[in-house]
Amino acid sequence: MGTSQPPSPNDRNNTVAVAQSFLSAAELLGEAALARVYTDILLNRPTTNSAIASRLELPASTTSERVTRLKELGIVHDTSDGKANQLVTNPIEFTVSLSDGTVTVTPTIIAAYGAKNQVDDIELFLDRHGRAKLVEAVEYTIAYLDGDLSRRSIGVEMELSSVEAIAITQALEPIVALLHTVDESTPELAQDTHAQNGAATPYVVDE
Amino acid sequence: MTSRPSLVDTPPFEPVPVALLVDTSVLIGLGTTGSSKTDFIEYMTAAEKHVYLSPYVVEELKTDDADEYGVNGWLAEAQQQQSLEVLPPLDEGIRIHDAPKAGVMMDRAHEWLAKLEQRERDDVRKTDPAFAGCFVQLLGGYGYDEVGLVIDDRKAEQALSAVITGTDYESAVRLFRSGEFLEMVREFHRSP
Repeated sequence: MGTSQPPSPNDRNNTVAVAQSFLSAAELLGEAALARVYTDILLNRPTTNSAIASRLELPASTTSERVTRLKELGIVHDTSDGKANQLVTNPIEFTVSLSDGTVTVTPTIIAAYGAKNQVDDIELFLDRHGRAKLVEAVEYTIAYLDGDLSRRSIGVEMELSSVEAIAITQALEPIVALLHTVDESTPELAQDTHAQNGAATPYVVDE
Repeated sequence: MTSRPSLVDTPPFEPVPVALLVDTSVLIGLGTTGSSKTDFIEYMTAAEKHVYLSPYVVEELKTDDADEYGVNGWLAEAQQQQSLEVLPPLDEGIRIHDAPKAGVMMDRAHEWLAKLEQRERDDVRKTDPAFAGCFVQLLGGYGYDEVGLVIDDRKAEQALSAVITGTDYESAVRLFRSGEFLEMVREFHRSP
């Protein structure tokens, strides 16, 4: 029989820090508007409030409000030293394990959810199936781009009609392609994603 | 990175075949309203192309989901536009000379796609493989010298290219990637 040891002070600190990161990150999957601003900062870090507002076509006050919320959550940090603010963030990734499997939430999934109010087919899909199914759709879109499956076979796997499988994979494809550069969890994709980069996504990457 | 299958055309595409099959994946990308759809229809008319919808594509466009995702309007277009037509059910026995029959080509494409995806054949829907039969139907039954398919699915194009290559149909079939084809359509409208 094993002996359980009480966590050391360092472990306790780590547990609290990790739990806080997890809870903060989970907030992003509850608020699409926040997820969108987080994704924009991730793609353009370091950046400023005004640059975010310009890229996302948001009023300055709305941008400032959302950035403040992300800072309060500990997701975004301001590294400025007296100059214009320099907002930075890191790729968020956390794995949830349950008795019947695990799922990893990645920057690409957060970006897909953040596109909800800008991409009609993502919004419709979320309304019909919810966030959990969107996570699955992102995973299968990566599988499509990696050359594993046709769009219609994704429909079979996800128990969706061909029309819906095609529509959601096409909607997610440019987001997966764009996030590929910052999401280390995405494998090297077999398909050339260059053509999809930036196409029909609600995100802009400054040159 | 995967290479381009041999039958998948590389731009510039001209001359484009007169007879073109168009997959649901393209129609969804075009939407029901907006300039992309209008540009596409105008190109077909101005460039004197004839677009065919396969029976399997038509079945997909009749579903409730097609309505939800705003793509069912293409069936109404097929009734109104002279350049857009629904193909009748596949005549499986049709062929050119001694080349494989339409039903055989569809069957082979089904087998190939299942093999490429490492799936049971019964788990692979028939819409993509059926294009291989539709090529033969258009070449043998409608008298076209050349047919094309516009599609946005890399796995499907890979399977179709593989089964057509090496048959007597090889020189008469061309596959076009949706994004590249629609760029050509936009270019067509931009040119004076």
